[in-house]
Amino acid sequence: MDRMGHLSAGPAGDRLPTPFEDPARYDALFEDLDFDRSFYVAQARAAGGPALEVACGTGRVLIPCLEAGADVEGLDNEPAMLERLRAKAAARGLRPRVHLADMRSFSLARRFALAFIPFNGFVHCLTTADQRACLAACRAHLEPGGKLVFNTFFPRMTGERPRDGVPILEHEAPDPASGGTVRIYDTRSHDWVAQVQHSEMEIQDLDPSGQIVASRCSATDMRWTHPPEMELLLAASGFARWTIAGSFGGEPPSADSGLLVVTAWRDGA
Amino acid sequence: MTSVHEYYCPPALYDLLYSDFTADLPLWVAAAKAAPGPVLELCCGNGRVLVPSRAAGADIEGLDLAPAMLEDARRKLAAQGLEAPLTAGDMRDFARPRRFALITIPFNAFLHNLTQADQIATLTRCRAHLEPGGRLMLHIFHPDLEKLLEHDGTPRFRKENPTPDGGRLRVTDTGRLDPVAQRVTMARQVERLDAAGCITETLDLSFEMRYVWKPEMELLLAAAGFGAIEVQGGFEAPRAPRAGDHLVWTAWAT
Repeated sequence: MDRMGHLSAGPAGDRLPTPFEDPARYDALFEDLDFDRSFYVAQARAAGGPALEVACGTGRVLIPCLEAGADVEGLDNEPAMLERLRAKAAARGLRPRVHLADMRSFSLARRFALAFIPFNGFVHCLTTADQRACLAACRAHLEPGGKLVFNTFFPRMTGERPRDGVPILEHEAPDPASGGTVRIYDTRSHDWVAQVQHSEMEIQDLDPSGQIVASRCSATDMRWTHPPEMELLLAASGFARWTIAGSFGGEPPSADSGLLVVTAWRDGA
Repeated sequence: MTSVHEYYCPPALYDLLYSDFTADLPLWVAAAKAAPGPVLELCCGNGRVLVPSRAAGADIEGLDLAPAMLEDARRKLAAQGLEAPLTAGDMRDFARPRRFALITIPFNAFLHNLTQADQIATLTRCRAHLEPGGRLMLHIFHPDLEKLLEHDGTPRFRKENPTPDGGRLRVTDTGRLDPVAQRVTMARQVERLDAAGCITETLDLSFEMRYVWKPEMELLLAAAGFGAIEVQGGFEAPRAPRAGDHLVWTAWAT
């Protein structure tokens, strides 16, 4: 680490870790995010049957679902995230059923009235083949009449866009563990042919006086999907009908937000 | 004076506007010549690609929506002592008696399909008209974000081409972008200038197009029943596509 607290790329190797390999930091940054949480908790409560959260991580959405009385199982492919989820749930007297599995190839015994993928979990499917496999696996786990709900994004296509290669302060949150602050800088680049957004992140720990005391670098890729492409993916994955909204309130998609909220039903109306 | 024209009329104007685009001709002529059977060009217009392909010996026929463009193509063929079957028809619902070894859709014409249903209908008709093992080849541009964002309602100079009378044609585009529906609505103004530089006529040519991203095109071709699919950037030696590239897609009826 240099004296500014930046971790220089170095002996750790060619590959930076993903942000999901450090669940404590992940929670410090994101646990309190609730832009989508109340939406998914309401979906799980109204499902009329068991629900499955795909890419449940440390339980930011799953634990509140359980606390609201919903019957929800979860799956994630990162053991450290699930371990933290279990510990957090246990502290609340909850015993969640969560599975270590890949969203493209999971196979569970149960069928669900609702499957859901919050917070861009779907964007970790980096190729069309991965996307189709994930959607087909979700559909295969739905009861007749069941639905899949997930949110994803496409890049903002208006004049006000962050430039590729420039670090942006993505998020800043108090860190209860240290009494300081944790913040994340995201430096993005876009591959417009493959539709992959590459993010190099630096997560900084600041002490109460504002000094950087630690810094961790990580990287992740996210595949975005344009709205017409999403319709083709859903059809190719066997869904019978769907709605594609641009907000959790059901407004139409807009290039200013880039948010897509998809609801896809296993069967026809 | 201002006059409003059907986009592809009159044919002579089309030639003055677009005959400077020749980068794709070697690829199309070579593909038509090498095809092991008959060739169909969709949206052949007044023959920018079809006439040199026929002149090179290809067994090629053409289809286009605009009878006036086809008439002009016939005239150009006849001037070289050539003929080819040319049919007025819509790429979304055409039916020809023959099956083809190669179907081509050059120069972004596929982007005239403004809905997903139209896109899939066109590709499905192509698939149905291919011989076993035959292939569809089409050229569309890959969207370049900066260029898309230029479609902001501001008139922008596009190009200026010389005319045989010593004057010029000046093209000014005013585009509007709908990035959700992936549509560009273009008001293309063409000014005719005489040799002295005075504007003698102003023509308004308006059109809409729906651009397509790369993974989306793969899904469209799959939805229409194509199996093997390849895409290259540019018209020359095959190379990986880049953002803003000309993309040449090849899809086989397997």
